[in-house]
Amino acid sequence: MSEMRSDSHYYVPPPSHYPVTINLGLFILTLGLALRINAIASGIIPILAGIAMVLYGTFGWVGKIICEDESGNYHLWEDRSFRIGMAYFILSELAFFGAFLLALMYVRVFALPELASMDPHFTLWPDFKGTWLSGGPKSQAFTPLGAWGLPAVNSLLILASAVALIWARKGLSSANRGQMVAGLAIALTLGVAFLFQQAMEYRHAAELGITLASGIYGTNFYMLTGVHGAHLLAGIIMLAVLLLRAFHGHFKAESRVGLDLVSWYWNFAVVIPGLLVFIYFYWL
Amino acid sequence: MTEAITAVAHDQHEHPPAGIMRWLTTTNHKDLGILYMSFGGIMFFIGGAFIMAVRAELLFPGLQLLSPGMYNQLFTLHALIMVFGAIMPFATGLNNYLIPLMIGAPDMALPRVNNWGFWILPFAAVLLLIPFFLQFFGIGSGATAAGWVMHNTSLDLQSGIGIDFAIFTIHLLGLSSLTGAINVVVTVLNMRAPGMTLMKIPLFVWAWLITAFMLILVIPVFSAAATMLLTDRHFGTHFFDAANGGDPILLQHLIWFFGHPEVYIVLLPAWGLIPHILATFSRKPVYGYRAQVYALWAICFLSFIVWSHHMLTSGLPLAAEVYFMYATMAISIPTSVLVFCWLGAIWRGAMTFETPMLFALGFVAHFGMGALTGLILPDVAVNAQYHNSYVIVSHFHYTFFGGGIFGMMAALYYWLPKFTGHMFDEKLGRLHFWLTTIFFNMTFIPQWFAGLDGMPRHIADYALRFSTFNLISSVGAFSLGLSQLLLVYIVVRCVRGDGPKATGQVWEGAQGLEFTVPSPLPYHTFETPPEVK
Repeated sequence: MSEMRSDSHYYVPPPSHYPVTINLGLFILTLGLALRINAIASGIIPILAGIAMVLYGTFGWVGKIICEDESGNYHLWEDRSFRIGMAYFILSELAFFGAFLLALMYVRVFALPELASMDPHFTLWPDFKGTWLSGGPKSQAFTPLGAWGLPAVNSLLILASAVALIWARKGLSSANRGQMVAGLAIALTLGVAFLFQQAMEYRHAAELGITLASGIYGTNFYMLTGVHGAHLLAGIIMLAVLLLRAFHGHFKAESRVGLDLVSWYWNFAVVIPGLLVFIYFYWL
Repeated sequence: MTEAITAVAHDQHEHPPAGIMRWLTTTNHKDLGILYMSFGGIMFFIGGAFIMAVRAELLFPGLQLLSPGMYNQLFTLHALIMVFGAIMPFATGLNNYLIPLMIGAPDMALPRVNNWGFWILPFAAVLLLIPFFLQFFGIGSGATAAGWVMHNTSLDLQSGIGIDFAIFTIHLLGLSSLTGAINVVVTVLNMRAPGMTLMKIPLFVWAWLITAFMLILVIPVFSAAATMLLTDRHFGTHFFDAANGGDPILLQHLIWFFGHPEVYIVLLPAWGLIPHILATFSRKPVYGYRAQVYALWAICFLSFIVWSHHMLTSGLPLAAEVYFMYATMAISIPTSVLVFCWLGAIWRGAMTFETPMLFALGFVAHFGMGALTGLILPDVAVNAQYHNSYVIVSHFHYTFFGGGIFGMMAALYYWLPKFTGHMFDEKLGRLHFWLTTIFFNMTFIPQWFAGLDGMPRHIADYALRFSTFNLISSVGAFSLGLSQLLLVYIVVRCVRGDGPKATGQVWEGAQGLEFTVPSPLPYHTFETPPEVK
């Protein structure tokens, strides 16, 4: 491990007010939300103020890290901390996503069949079949979404964006900055295109009668794609920041932690969950 | 094992901001460790105050003080505050303070993330308690009243604003635990001094590394379950609604998939620090280091595949019940390895019984009782009788208080001279130990019998035949609560410096890098990594 150290001094950052700012913002945001959904105080101002504080804190903090990175405070030792940290953060994101996917599995394998397997004389819903692509006994009628139209195209889009990112990283390794910028721009464009298509998919779903009221089918559709979409949106912002940094001449073959971390996030917390949603929700 | 050659302690070269800003913006692991531990201590007394009201209600049969709704709020808040507000932050404070010292690192690997993880806790605590106070102004129906795992929450039962505040609290606490856990993993994997290989790090560091793995994997599941509950309650989804194809049992599965590892998250830090203390006061090296590391890993692995033993009466298929019964019982094997290693550590040692040693031995005895009953409870047939009875209450208090809290107190007394530079009053410390031990058992032994006799938990009133048990238990609980004030007195006096100066070594038999630096510690330690042979 000692050969990982170019320097025996670890950079311990000076005191920072960004973390506590983010926390205050989160507090105001959650307090505002909790009061609003219970119609105690329905003002939107605390929610917006909370979001603004969180965004200010996040951008300030990330900006500070970028400054420290560019002014040469980070060496191999610090670099490794960021990488290990990101790897475990991605692991936790997969666990978060896994909970939603396992809820889908549980409903398909256990909950729906059991609802139909009760003694028909005693169940409230004797006509209920209990097979998947159902919204449960009391759900409104709807037409399930097909897998091989827009969802398949969208899956290809994010797969292609992952390839573009790998290509961009190869560009940096071979000192081809043009390739890096182009790869980032392509990945960003594909991500935005995915988001746009997903909005189209929501409109299409609404036409087919799929709403949150369509029982467990609508619930899983909107929550799985919603959670994935939120991660994708965060990833798009990260890619945009990377692109701006690349324009400013940041990243070198030996100092590239930001680029690598965002591509890990994109590949493992955005692309792979997206594909899993396609396989287990739309296809199988 | 770990002799530091260059334990250099520099004077601080940059001065931290003064006053409150120092604490709000600090990136120093010792400052944050103190903040975490103080927060845990304060919450320990708040959570204790809530349960005093509960025990006052249970002093006599009938309803005297509290309405059943208020009673439910109080025991729920007690549980949430003690688990998430007291034990976990205190254990996190210990890791913050001690891990960099134990592995010879200048600080935690991600110091700003460390600050982020701490300063979210006070906000989360306030958020949890806001609805409790709002009810006295006629707003809302009070704090969450569904127990700490929020089972009875489904959609209509136990509704009210408290659950929503609790859900957001869980999100904030989850963020805190997650960032703290990632920081521990990165620190242990990347910040060890040269020569400090993974199989040389102290057991406390191993225990926390494994705890962090568990946190990283289960906290997101808890957050996801809370999110589903929130959207089910307010945004029209149907995860837990059978009429629309969901299943209320799914909520139990998700929560207990988090909840069972959470039990070990609370206990593992204590299991890690007990060997240090037993070895020090037996003047022997740690016994069975490798065996303990492997046992901790085995418990970590098993904890992920036994969650349904909390749900044996929920109507699982018989095959599943039998599987979860045997899987749960299998945990007793690595746990026994740990217990026998602790006993091996004191076997034929030159033992002395200072306060930390007393608490460590108390830990072994009480945790042993909790663990042995834990071997009986997963038995499917037995569980049908004991489920949701006071046997369960007593069982998990023997593990959480007799294990977790006794362990934390042992650690506090063991490292307090290191933190403050002064010894505490040994006589008062021993008195505190004996009062705690006697009243702890007086509180919880009667609950075994009440539970065996059929007294259900979560009930504000009870049948007359449980009167004697509850009277003894309540008197014990009040005395237990009062005797903790002695702890405050001891700690405050020690912090103010009313005691003989502590040496760097502090205890005669103490081993480890943290005892190679002076007491109290300088603001920055190990800025140049020490060499470990």
